[in-house]
Amino acid sequence: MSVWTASEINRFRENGEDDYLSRFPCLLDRLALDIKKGVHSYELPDYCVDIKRVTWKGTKLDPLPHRYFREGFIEGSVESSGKPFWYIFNNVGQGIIRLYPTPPEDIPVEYLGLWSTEIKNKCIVEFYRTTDCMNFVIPSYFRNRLLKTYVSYQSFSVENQGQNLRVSKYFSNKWQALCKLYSSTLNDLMNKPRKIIIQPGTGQYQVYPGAPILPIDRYGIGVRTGE
Amino acid sequence: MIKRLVKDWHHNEGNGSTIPSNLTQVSKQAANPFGKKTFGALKENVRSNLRAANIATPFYSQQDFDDSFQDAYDDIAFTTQCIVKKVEGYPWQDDVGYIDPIVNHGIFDFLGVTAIINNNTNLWLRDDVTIRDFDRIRKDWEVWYGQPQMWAPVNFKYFVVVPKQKVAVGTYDMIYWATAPKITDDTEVPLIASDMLILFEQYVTGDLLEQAEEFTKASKWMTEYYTKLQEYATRCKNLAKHDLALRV
Repeated sequence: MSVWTASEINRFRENGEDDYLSRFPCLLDRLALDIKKGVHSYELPDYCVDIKRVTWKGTKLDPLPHRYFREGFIEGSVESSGKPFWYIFNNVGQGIIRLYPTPPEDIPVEYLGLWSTEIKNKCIVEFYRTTDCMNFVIPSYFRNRLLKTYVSYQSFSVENQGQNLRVSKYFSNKWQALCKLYSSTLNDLMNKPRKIIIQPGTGQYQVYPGAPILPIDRYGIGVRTGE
Repeated sequence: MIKRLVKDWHHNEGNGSTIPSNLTQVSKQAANPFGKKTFGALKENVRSNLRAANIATPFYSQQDFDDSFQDAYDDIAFTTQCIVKKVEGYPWQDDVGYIDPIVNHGIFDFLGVTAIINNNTNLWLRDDVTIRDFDRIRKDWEVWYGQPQMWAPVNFKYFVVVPKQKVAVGTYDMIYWATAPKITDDTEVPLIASDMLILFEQYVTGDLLEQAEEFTKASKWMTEYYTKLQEYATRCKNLAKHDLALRV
């Protein structure tokens, strides 16, 4: 008979998944805000950990700290209504963002097509989220090995017949090492451009639209040079 | 000590007996240096490492071996990205820029995209850009319609092509890194380099020793495994390292 119960092991497994995701958020999700005319603040669900991007009918909104908003726009004295360009993400309320300018129309919420056909119709928030242990979980190709280590680490540390702090330390070290290894590999898969077709240095400066270059005699002179 | 080991090796060679574990890999590699071992042969090596072959009531079940070998295979494929596959002729979809290969195309072993070629233009999609670069090009790139020119990874589930087609025509080919296949038969040959098959033995031996709570012994095998794993990961990505270094 096992020293640990199934519910204990499940609890450790869920804790391990939460712990890993808090260090390395990798579960991406989208939701469409239920936009109402004249309403500028909207609450995000508590499983939203970090906002990645916000779009208004396909156009990206820039994040704006509340301080810059207060310095740049006189809140309350200027009625704002129009297509939003920014969202204020801090000091608005727990899990609340504010769109600026205030939306001028109603856009009903939608749950499907947020990665495809509804991008041009909705105000979409893309964010990193916590796990729900069902649909949003760590990738299966390393989940088993990673969580097994965490479960072992916790199991050997709790007070019961199986307690062995030395073994718990072994698995704790292994857990740290695996988190680092898998995070690094996953980061390469998720974020790193491959640069196989275009080698570094060949097309590097051709991503952005061309910018005019001033004639060489119009660059101006430095203050020290002119003195 | 060495004399006794050599005597044991000569005594056991060829008569089907178990070869001493510290000489197992050398002797088998010398006998068949270029042949690839099957999973069955690798399992025999691990049984030999653990002296698990001749026990009447085995401490480790067949399921323990199978699960541990699958874990090792998954780990090697994910960390080194050594398995590369190609799929051809996948149709572009209307108004779809974010592509989920599992949902959209049923590629259940998808790990990450390596390259994409647009069959409409016969051009590879640019792969040196990120989502941040798309934002710099235009803020509404998510509703930018046209012939796909660039792609970028989004997360482990999605990648995005830009621009996307409003009314899709044509197809694309995709080269991607794949996860390890499920091991169903001991006669299968692993899809990794033959000189790196020792990774399986190191991982499984260490894993099973951990299960037996022999952590000091397991630590030795696991350390060797992770060191060699990094070597193989580097090799998978930089096969021509020396040639590149000599290139003027």
